[in-house]
Amino acid sequence: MIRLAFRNLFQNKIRLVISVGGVALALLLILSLDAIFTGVERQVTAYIEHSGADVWVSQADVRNMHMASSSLPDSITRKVKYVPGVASVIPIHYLTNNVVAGDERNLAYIIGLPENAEFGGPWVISSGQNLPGDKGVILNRNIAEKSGIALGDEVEILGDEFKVTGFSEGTASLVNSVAFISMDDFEEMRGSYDTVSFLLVKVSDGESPEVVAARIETQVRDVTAQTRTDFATQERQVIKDMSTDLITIMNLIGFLIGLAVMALTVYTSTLSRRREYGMLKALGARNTDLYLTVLAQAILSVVLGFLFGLVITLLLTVVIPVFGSNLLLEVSSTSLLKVGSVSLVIAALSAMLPIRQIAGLDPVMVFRGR
Amino acid sequence: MTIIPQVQGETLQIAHITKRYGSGATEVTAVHDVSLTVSPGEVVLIMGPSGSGKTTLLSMLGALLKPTEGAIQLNGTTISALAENRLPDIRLKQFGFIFQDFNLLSALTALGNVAIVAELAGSKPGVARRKAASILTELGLGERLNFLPEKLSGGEKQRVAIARALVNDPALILADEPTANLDSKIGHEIMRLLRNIAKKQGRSVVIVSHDQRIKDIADRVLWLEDGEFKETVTMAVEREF
Ligand SMILES: Nc1ncnc2c1ncn2[C@@H]1O[C@H](COP(=O)(O)OP(=O)(O)O)[C@@H](O)[C@H]1O
Ligand SMILES: [Mg+2]
Repeated sequence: MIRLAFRNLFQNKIRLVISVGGVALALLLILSLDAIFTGVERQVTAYIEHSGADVWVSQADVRNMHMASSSLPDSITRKVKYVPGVASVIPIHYLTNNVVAGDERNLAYIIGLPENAEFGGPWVISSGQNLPGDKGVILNRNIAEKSGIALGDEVEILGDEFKVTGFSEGTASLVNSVAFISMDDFEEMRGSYDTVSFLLVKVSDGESPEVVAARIETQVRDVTAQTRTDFATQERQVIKDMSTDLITIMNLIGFLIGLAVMALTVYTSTLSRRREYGMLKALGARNTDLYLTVLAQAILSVVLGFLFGLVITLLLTVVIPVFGSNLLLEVSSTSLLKVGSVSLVIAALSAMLPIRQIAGLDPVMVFRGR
Repeated sequence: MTIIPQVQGETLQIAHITKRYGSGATEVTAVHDVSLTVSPGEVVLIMGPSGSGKTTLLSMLGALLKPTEGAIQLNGTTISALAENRLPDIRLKQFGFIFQDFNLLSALTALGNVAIVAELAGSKPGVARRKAASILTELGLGERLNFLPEKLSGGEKQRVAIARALVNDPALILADEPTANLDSKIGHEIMRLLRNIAKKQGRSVVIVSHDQRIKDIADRVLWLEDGEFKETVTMAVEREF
């Protein structure tokens, strides 16, 4: 009967193209949107993941970086340093602002780094210095290239002039990038001499970040300490919270398009074979045999649609960066699992009406005229 | 329910069956008090004008329709008394059906059309395909195994249908106007083929038709009119074809 399902499916090429193409398009909608947001999550957490810190210390109850403001007194750095298990501490400043070059304005996460910071700075440098230096700034290479900025050029941040001293890689996202300046410049610009935003903590060899983070929270007042993994998860959660509604709506649209296309094609396919199914019933096929045929046909075309949609999405993940876009698409296993389940639900639902139709067929019809 | 005494060696026995459609003012008696016994290997032709009840009778013989009254027995089993859900299996394994318009599955090859029916009856795909290939070859379609129905002539299609009717070793083959869509020479040839196989394998055949030209392949011709048998013509001579 599976052979029959297969042959039935491939007999009408136009119907096959419509159903597989329709499902592929519908699933592509879901898959690519998921991929875009997974990519955004990766981009937004890029600095956290590459900071080199095992533990992030922030103002009490500040659990993410970009959607909150953290301010810690200067003196905390010393206190955290004395917590057992802490190997080194680097304080950083952080704010979101524009990097202005002529008419070009690029939104950036601006990080203020201490002189000679061992970690917390750019992790891949394509040219120039790996630390900003006095009145210097390290920009993302892609963004800089697009705005026509070269090494040694002047840019403006919060009204102050900075000289571009280096270009970094992997620091840009769809909407912004990371720019590094020195802590002194940051403080002068902001007038914030006795506070920092976060502390980046490296733990000693053999210590677990969880344990050290918990220790910091009990020994130092008014701070929140999270492992790098937890902090990144919180950061991704911000994106998730913002994108949930949009994703839900688009998923629903994709699901409905896929269902409509499938329901229509499976229904017309079954309708056009009414007589064949009636004949099989007359010969002695049980209803369940025929239900399985219809279901197998639906599942087959949905699986083809799924594979097709997935291939296109994967192609997009490869092709889009080639065109120099900062859009990063990443297909996650969660998304695959979700779209896989959605596909099966579509197949099952689209087979329901035709199955009812077959159940109602009277096999005596084979002896009667059409 | 009419109790039929078991007669050894009789394939099909129908006793006093009546079929009425509808009720009250719109009631139609399509078949009225018909009795018939078909022996193994016997070829029976039922003829009659349109509307005489041929299709209704054949549908009841094939366990597709329950008689309003009377009993139908096949090899000792009273199929007219069986529960609805037992009937598909009986049809699959005890009956072979041949239709006026062939009714092949358009997406499957000749081989696939025959094999699928064996598979439905429980054969493994490989076994089913071997069985189908051998019957089709026996029917002269060895060169057409992988042809789709659309690539076959009418006569070839009906031979595929015969192969399909034979694949599960049925006791009884039922054919409804099997030559209606064939030219007379081919139609006659195919009916002769069916007769020969039935004789060789000891299967009973009931054909419903108004094609006068196939009378000579039947052992017995029954004339149905207004739902009743009017005369019985017995072709007593056993001819060689
Ligand atoms: N499903 C049905 N409902 C009501 N009347 C029917 C039905 N099927 C057949 N009939 C009637 O029963 C009679 C016999 O029909 P049928 O068995 O088709 O005869 P034939 O096959 O000899 O032409 C006709 O009068 C026909 O109108
Ligand atoms: Mg008829």
